[in-house]
Amino acid sequence: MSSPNPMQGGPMGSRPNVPNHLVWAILCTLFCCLPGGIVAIIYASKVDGLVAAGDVAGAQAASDSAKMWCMISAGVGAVFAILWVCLSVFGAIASHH
Amino acid sequence: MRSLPTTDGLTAALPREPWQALPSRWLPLAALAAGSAACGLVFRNASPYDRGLLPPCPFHACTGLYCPGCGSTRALYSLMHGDLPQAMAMNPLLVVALPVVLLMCLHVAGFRPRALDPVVRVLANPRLWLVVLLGFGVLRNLPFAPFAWLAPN
Repeated sequence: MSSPNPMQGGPMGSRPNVPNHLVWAILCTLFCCLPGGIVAIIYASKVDGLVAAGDVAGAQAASDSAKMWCMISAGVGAVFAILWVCLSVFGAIASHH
Repeated sequence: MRSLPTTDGLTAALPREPWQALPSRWLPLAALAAGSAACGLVFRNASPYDRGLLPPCPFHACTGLYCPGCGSTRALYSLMHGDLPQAMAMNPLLVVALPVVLLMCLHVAGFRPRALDPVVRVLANPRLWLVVLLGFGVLRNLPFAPFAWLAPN
């Protein structure tokens, strides 16, 4: 939102050094818990602009934030799935008796 | 390589050994492979079309609204059983995005055919994904004709 290069012209060459974790963010949005994945994509979108602007520390901070939100999203999704499976197994056992 | 100075600055700012970069670039691909294996294992024994064992979308459970990922489990189940139209009915974006995400994972892993460079350059723009995912999430909640087809029911 704040970065000035919507077209992503040049910074592909410097991408490997500050990962924007976009793939993880997309996977989290599609398979886990929506809000966290979207927040991760927003942080991911800041990384390349900040690298292009020469703000490496800022880019690394945005990269870390994107990673953190992916982990939160994946964690929430995983906890929910595990709880659901446990509860439905217990429920099946309980209704069986 | 006109971005060389920046790259030097980056390596100075991030003291990482070369070997540390190796596993992390394979991680997304490994996660996809593990996910596919898990889907194959789970969907052999359980169906998301039967209410019960497999979890529904937490977002839908909390809000009653469809999120961009709603219907993913059913779409994957249908894909695994070769029913593409049914998978498209459950989550068309997922079906379209899966090969794209695979391509991006390969790109992250270092498989970068030059012919695909322009495509990846467009796909690697997070803003595109933000617009597509949020737009899809909004449109599939509209209750009338063309958009209601995007909802998983």
